[in-house]
Amino acid sequence: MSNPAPRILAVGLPDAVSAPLSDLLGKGEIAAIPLEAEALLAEVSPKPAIVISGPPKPELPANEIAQSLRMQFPDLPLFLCCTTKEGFERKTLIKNGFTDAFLLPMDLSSLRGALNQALAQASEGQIRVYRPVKIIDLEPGAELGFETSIFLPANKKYVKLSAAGDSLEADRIEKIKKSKFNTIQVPAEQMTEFYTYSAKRLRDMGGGGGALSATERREKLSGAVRDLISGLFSEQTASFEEGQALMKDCGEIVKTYILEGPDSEWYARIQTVLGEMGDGYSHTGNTSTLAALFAMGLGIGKPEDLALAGLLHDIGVAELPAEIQLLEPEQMTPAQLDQYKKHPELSVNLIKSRKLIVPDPVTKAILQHHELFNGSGYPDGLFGDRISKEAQILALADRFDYLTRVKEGQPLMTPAQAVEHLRSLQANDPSRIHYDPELLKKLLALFPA
Amino acid sequence: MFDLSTKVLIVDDMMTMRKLVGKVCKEIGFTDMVEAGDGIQAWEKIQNSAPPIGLIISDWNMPNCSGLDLVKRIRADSRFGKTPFLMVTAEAEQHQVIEALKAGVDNYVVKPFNAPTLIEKLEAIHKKRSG
Repeated sequence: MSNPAPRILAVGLPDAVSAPLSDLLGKGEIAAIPLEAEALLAEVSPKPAIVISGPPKPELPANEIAQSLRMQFPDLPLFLCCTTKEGFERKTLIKNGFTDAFLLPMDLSSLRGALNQALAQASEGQIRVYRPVKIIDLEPGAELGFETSIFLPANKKYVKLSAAGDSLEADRIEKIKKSKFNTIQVPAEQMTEFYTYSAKRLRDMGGGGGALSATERREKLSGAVRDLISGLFSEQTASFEEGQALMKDCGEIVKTYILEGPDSEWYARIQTVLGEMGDGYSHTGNTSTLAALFAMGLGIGKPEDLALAGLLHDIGVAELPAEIQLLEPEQMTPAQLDQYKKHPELSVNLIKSRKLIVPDPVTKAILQHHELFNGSGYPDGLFGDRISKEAQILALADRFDYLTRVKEGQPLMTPAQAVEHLRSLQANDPSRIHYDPELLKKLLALFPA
Repeated sequence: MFDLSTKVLIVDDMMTMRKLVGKVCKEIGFTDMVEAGDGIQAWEKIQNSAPPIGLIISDWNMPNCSGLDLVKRIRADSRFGKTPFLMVTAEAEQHQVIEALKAGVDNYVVKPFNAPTLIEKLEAIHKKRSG
């Protein structure tokens, strides 16, 4: 017997919002109502499992939608999708009743993740959604109250490792650690069991109440980056005080989630970044972490500068027109690409207009993170050592995260393979010398073959 | 038990919220409800209502005249000073609750709330006042 598909109440959802969600919305049964006071007050029967609202209107502001939907559905996931920055105060919207609020297209990936998670919960696991868990968080031989799988990206297949209640033995964990898979997959609705297991394990290991597993650190980093970025676009952030508060948030993120790792071994820390699908704000968190770790490993630049530059390097993308944000650079028309190439400058402008005071090497790294060693990059076509060392490291971290990310239809790359790939690309072709060959050589030497 | 024939004034700047709070009141058994969109309108209704308003359920954050302004005005007036006042708020921040209680609200309820919660709050007000 299978449960019926979860009912999704779509409140005034325009096509522009529902189109990029159609595959997910299709997993549920949609009941669409207009975004009007009368419709919000009407009894909805049968009761939905998820409510998703389109952008507010002048006569029906977001906080009113939040409060009235929350009164009607006290315990349902309630999502808001906004398409303009005006009035998008995420913290206030959540206080007023939304489970989460998304600014599209910037937050599309986060919205898809939240919707997927809600569908998995509402269908009681009938709709399968997996979440990444770092293998170093699992104790060999311990009973695990959740199912584990491995995702094979080349075949787009999940392969089950253990059932809920089973354990993973030491040799198996070692084998996974040594392979490219340092991340296993746990069904989304069983993540509570993982958190319980990991909290107990950290307690047994003598960690204090604030101790976090590598998995949770990555999740919290991604969430903190999202909070930071929505804070940057909130209308309140133009004063020096707000700028200082945002800088304090940046500093906290860098200190808590990036610089202070529980594992002091450099390569183990690199590994905790790998094996993700690049969803939500994980790319920003990853680039920031990798840039800081590269700086540490190579002894170039200050890790805290690189971490900060990583957090802020792409914020200017959100200032671009929505249709450009949804495209990959290779899909853009020449005119769109010209606009896209302005994003490093837009990031720096945004930092200035929000009154964030950042060290000079950070500004340079952000402005120059698309410059390439042979001068073929943008915005200024700088070459060689005219590109700051910090910018070169940030560019490498950005590219490295892309190469080692889990991509459907493609085999995984180890860190060494990723750097080797970059090296061989440019070894015999001067037009492809995008990174300082010396820098690549030094980086490669840091990774086990 | 509080008196269900009491005339209730529901104050909120959001029309949908006034209707939804009204729905909860109806569920409890109140039959005589009036609405106001802000503190100024509410004050007019309080002064001109017959039979008099016996219970005020008011939102806190409103433009023009907030819940705080309204409760201060009522408490300062000898004619209506004793009317029970229940504050409705979306965010129960501690400083806000303290400020509200100091200004003379009888109790507060956090949105979203349902009929059992509202009954509980009204009974607490009734008990405090008759005890």
